[in-house]
Amino acid sequence: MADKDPHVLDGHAAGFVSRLFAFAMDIVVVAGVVAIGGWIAVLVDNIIGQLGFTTRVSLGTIYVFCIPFIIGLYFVMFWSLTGRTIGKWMMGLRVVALNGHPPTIWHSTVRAFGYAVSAIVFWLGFFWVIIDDNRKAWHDHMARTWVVYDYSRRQSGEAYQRFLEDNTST
Amino acid sequence: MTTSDTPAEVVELPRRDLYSTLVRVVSGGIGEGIDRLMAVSAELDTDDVESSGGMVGPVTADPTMMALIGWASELPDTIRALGESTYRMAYPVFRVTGVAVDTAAYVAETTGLASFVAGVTEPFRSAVTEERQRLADIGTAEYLRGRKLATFAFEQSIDGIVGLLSESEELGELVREQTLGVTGSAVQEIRETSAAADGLTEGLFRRLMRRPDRAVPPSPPTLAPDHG
Repeated sequence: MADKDPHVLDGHAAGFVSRLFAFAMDIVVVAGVVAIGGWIAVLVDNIIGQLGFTTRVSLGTIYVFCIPFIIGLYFVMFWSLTGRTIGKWMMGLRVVALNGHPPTIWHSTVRAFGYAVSAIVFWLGFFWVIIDDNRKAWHDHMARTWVVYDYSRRQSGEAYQRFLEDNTST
Repeated sequence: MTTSDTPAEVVELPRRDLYSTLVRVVSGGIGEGIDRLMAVSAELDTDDVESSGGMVGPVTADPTMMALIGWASELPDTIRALGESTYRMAYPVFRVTGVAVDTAAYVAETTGLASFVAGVTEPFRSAVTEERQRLADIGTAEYLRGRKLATFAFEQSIDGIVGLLSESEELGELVREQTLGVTGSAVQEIRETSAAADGLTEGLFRRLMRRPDRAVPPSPPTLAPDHG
């Protein structure tokens, strides 16, 4: 396979390993966001307790139930706005709809639910990328999306070259 | 070989990199710091009373050290008044005489001649004490002035260097560019490695499932292969 030069792969469906790394990075980011949110919830809960207010259910408990929505919001927001989450951006991947544009909010929401479906049977839906002819996971089939390589990042070094040119005159 | 065949001399242009830029900026900062110090020193010279008179003396000040500093500070004026050679000869004599007088006073005291000797030694002793105190005062002032100057120099130098570093557009751009370059290279390496791993993983499973290998991965039907 001609996978050595990533720029040749631009626009082609991404494989399992790249997607796995991107997903792992997203998990780390989401875990950080959830942790910060939890810390804020506990802090606010303590302040409410210090002020003498009593609640039937603590804010922390409510927050725990909100975590799935926070995770879903993270993915839906990034997919529908830019087509790439932080992890996919790092790995040079992009989620696209059949028309080549970022998926709509509806398709992104379906895809987020599809994550749960793909994970429910021993993550088989994610591993499906390896054997699928179009390198699509279950959630890609459900939301009619593709994950493609997109190495459109500008190469660095321009400013350095310009600096050398400006300062090498005798 | 004729003259026309001689290749033109290639002049190696100086190559400037991050290190040389940093050295230049820092040396510029030090130069500016020295200029500021000279200005502050001049200000302190013109306002000597304010810079040293109103300050509380150091707790750990050693009177002897202060006297030595005072003596060193006083030296130029003394040289102008008496002449260097005269002073250098007079000072040891002064010290030896003081020791001799002290010894004589001790002997006189132990032998019952103290009241007799006191009339001779007391004026000399008070003169020595007075001179020593005067030199110690000058030393204290110089010491405090030096500390104030050093504190100011440190603060100004740090401020100046940090300011120059932050104001240097080319250095900032270089640091930013090189940081981005290193990070970008690492990210690019990870992308290339994972893209290769994608193909290897898929190829392995396709062989296991007895499917034909393929040259390029699939792409969405509406997306051009050279999509960027």
